[in-house]
Amino acid sequence: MLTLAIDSSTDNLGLALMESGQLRGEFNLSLKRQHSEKLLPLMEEIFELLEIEAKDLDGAAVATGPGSFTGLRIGITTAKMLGRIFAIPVKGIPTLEIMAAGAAGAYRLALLDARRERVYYAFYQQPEADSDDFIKEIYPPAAVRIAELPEVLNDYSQKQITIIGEKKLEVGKVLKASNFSIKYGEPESDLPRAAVLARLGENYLKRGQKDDIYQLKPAYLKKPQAEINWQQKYGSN
Amino acid sequence: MGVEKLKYKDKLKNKNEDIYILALESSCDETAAAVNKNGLEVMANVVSSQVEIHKKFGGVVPEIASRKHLELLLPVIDQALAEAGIKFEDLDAVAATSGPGLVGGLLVTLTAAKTISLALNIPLIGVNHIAGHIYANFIANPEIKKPLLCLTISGGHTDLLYFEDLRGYQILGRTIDDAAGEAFDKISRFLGLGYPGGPAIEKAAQTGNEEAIDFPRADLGKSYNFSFSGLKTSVMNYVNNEKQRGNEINTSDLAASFQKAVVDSLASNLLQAVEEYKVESVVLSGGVAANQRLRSYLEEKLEKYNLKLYYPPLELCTDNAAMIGAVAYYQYLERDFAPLSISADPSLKL
Amino acid sequence: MDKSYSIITDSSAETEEFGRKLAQLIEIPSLILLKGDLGTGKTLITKAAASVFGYQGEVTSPTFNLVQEYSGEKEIIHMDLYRLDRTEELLEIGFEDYLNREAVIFIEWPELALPLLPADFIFINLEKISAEKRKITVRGEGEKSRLLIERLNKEC
Repeated sequence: MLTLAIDSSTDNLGLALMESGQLRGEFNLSLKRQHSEKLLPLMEEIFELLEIEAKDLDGAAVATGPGSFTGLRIGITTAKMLGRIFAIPVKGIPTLEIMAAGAAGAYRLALLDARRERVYYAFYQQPEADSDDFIKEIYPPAAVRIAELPEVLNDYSQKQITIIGEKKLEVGKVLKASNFSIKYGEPESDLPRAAVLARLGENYLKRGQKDDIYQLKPAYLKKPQAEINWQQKYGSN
Repeated sequence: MGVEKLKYKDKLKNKNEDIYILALESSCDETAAAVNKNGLEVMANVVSSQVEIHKKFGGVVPEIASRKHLELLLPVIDQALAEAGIKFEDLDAVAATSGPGLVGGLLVTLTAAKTISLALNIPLIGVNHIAGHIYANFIANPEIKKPLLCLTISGGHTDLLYFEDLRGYQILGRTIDDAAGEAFDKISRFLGLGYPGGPAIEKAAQTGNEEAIDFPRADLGKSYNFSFSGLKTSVMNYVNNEKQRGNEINTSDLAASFQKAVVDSLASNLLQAVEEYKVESVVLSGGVAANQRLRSYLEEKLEKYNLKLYYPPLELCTDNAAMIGAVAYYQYLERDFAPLSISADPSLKL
Repeated sequence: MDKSYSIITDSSAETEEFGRKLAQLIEIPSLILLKGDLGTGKTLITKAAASVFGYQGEVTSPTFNLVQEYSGEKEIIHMDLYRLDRTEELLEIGFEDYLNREAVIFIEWPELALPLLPADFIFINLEKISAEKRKITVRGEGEKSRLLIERLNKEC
């Protein structure tokens, strides 16, 4: 089974090929806003280097965000089209899940910069030692003000939490100040690695878990939680 | 890029063979797919419009449009292939609009076209949307004689072009400020007539007197350029002045007079060019080409030159992909292919 | 009491001058809310600021399509929420995505955005005193707006 992973959700442009549990190749390139120019040429290159043709693919996995909406649509469109042309299954996977799945630790807090003193976060728990299950999602992806994270994670203040991703030092500082026990993940787990997406994708697809390519879309984030409503202070004259 | 390096160079066909192109378009608020055979023969032309969704906002909202394009992408492609009765494997090339338009939307079909190109190992063709609108005429009226003059008028463009044949053109003049369609939209909004502005103004003008108010026509000397910004301002000033005087405004008269001023400006440059260039036909394109007053006025004026005025039928006036496929065919013959690294250009010029 | 900065401008030229000064003193990314009745100079200030960021093209009020993007040396996003009725509609137009950009964002008629804003924005109130005269008040939340107000008070 040959699975192609595509991730254009963040500044990292990721492409990987996994063949039945064996990683064939991987690109992770930090490119600001050039995904539209770079994705397909890179895909052509990885196919050529590995002497693979697009029609050899058995499945595709794609990151669904959070991230730049335009970036997300580039990756998702590519996955949809491959799914449609070759009638292969496609699985969309949240970007923060890819990050968390690529790190170690019993409790993992994955972060992406949402700017303006906020982060996108998701919180996961490692599966039982001898199971091949996926990491368990405790809090799904959402946007939050960094200052509010201690409150959000309050139930886990006694556990050791591994923090990965953008703004990890800043968030770590805030959590430490609230007496959380934290650990920082390794730098290579701070971005959604394409190889991890390929691994997750293959595992999901092997279990028959795929998405309807006609419905597949980016995870457009909903209303951020626990923001202050400034209506009273600025709303009237 | 050089054709000799292309992976698909052995598959390329020549003019005497049948060439099938899948064309995609998502530059504004229509998601569209078409299959063209040998350029002007349209085997399928599927358009899914979002106009209703954007109506409420009085204009196209980029993010909403992009989301819709992603949602509609596969359904329109499926329908186009089904109507044409062909499979992906039968395609000789894939084309998509590369600009002008809203980047987020353009990238949906451009990325899809790139993926198809890579997956099927067929050429990718990036097409200028404005050129598409012009070629819509050649689909509808294959008998058009060359050389010709083309006036392309839409919400983003007002260009006067000269075509020796269908492979290339020369730009004689363009707008130095607002496009004609933009002026219609802005005045329509100003008068509270709704969106899109062209049809709204035209409807209001039907019962009005176009001589009622004498709005200025821009005079740019000998050039073939256009200007609508001054006209827009004078309409607004007129309304504000009348309101201040406590006079009621006759919207129909106002719309008719404004429309006539736009028509006059467009016509005067076109007729000047007709005098100078010895052409066999005159062609209108772009959303504003649907304006009946413009058509009837030009037809009347062109009679004395014994020239026929061509314009695309209504279904080809709005954005569609068949027109993109028509341009793509001529680019295919010229081996004018795009690399997979092509990006969307929101302000791509002709 | 919150810190603020106020200025009275006597002409549209002076209002424009304020827009340029504002652009020179803010840090990027920045979120700038412009509140004021029709014709008080919201678009004028945006245009003046955009010119400082290297954008020389046309700047008109995006009432027409809610959002316009200008790219000069810096990315500029210009929104006008006049046509929206509900805060939820802001999410549909990609508000979250815009907040997540390394851009200077100007928002005219910003009331509906208030429930969605991070604690980091500059709020500018424009009041018409006479035909040409405006009272401009700058307030805001977060470190960036505090710094901006400090700089404005020092400079003017």
